Amino acid sequence: MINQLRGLFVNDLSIDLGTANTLIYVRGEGIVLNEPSVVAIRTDSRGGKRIEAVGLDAKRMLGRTPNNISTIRPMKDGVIADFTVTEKMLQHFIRKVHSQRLFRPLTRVIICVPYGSTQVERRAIRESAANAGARKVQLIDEPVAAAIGAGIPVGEARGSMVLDIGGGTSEVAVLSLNGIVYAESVRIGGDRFDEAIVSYVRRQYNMLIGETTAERIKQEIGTAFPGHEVQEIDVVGRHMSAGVPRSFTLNSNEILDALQEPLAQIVAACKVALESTPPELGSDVADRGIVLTGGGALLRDLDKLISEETGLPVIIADDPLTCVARGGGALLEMENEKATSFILD
Amino acid sequence: MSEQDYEYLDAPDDLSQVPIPGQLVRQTREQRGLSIDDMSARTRLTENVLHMVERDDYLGMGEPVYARGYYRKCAEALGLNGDLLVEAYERHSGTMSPVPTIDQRPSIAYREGPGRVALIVAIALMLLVFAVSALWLLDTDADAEAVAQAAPTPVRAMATPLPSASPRPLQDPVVAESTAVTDQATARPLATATPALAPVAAQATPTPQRPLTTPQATPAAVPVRPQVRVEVQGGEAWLDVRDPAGGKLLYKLLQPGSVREFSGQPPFKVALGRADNVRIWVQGQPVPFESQIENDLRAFFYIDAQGRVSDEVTP
Repeated sequence: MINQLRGLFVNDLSIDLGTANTLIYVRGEGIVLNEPSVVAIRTDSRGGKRIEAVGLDAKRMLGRTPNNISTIRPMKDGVIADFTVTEKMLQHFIRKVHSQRLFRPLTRVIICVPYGSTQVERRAIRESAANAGARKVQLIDEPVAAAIGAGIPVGEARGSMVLDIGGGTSEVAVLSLNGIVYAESVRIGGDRFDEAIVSYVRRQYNMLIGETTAERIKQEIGTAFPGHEVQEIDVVGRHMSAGVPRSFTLNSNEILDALQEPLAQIVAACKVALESTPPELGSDVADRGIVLTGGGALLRDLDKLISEETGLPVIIADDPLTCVARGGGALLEMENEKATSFILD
Repeated sequence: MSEQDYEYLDAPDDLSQVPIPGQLVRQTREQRGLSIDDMSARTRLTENVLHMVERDDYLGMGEPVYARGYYRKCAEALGLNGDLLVEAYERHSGTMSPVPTIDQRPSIAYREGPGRVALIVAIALMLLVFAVSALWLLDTDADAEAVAQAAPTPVRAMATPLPSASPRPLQDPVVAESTAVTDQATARPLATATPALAPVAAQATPTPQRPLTTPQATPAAVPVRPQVRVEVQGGEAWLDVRDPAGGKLLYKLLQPGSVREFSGQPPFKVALGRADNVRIWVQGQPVPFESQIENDLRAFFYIDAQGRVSDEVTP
């Protein structure tokens, strides 16, 4: 009752400020925004810069802009790369989801940060959100949010392992009794997969493709484990010698080959986590399995790869893309005492 | 197991029509001639977990995220449709799918600076500040004008307490603070009364301290609640006037040109800051308190019903 009344006057948000996508969860409403973390900036003749578009609108411009417009991704490897642009992007997203600013001021914002992010990186995110209008900014570790969002019982005295593969980072964590037993963050994610595809195509076909095309290839035929079925895709790129656009065909086995290096690093991080986990908790993980979250979990047969490499069952969480945002949202809905144990200093 | 086998899932609320997922897994496994060990090798699930899956031990499997994963793994290993098996599990266990429907907000163009509402509020606030400032300025001008109108005589009266010649009729026994408007209204009779009072002023000049004992200051009948008039000239001054009960008759920082009138129960306890800027009259008679002004221009004294000044309360 009190919460309902309070909800009339306040507006609490949980933000998954990701390298690839930003998701916003509004307390009492659910996830209301899922847009790419992309900003288009127009430079005028005098050198002044002005933001042209943010989110989906900016992503449509990616790689298709004239000289005076540049599309940038202000987040890199899970942390802020361009403070001012991130602030403007956050302002825009918050404005989009929070129209009644006068009567329902923004009171509390929970933002998920990669595990092991430095104090400087955290402070940048905190200040960026505060400048975007938040009165109280709280930070939580991404693997914790991912685990809560996936529905893992983190409060139990049992070990649970979660692997969150985002756009810029992959986080692996073992949790028990509302705390992190072991966690590690590697700066490899969906972006590195795209880069690997771009460089593979350049190396093998002498063709140049954009990041957007690489992402489309990854989503359509990308695979992490050799399967029975080989899929193909027609791609148009620019031939590096001839300098003209040419069409060529890629198959899923080639993409598997391209992704070997980043995938190997993610698997290595998983193995290190298992080695560093106390035996009792390790046995719980072996029994229950590893839960995969994040957009990277949508890469075909990634669960099979990790399962084969570790010998453990790997489960893909429901709707892995929104797990972190849902986890932050669950913390918003929690009582303060319970939520406090997850909040970072 | 064909897709048609799952058509029931589209309609019925009747659970008896929905196959039990664990049983379905076990039957299919046996049909395919696979042992639990084979399943374990294919799915990497432990035998313990596989037994729980086949027994439909929803509690033992733990949280729905794990149970759904186990059913999907088994479905994949057996060539079943994982989504439909999970849906059967959800029906029987009564769990809800956690997948949220994203209520994506409509796209809005990027806009620099504050929102429209914030802009309107800012303009309204600025207008309010402007209006308050204008009112305050008008108030100050009116006070200054009142002083200017009364100036010819009171300026000379600085040395001789001339404004004693402008007694006001006792209108209201209750404290009455005059406003700028009333000051303006009273300024005219004050000026017209000046010529008649000039001789009195001239007479009083040689002995400015004497008015305390002049016959004019001792009316035949002293009112119970004498009328007190206070003027501030030359600079701002702090005034604190209280009755014997401690009630505040005047408690304010007054600007030059301000005039206040009030009545109350004497003796009045007076505390002044920048007392040199203050003139006081009781029942139209000036109150000479210059001797009470301290070096730092403060003054603390009592005034009785006859307008006499003392350090202590006179009985």
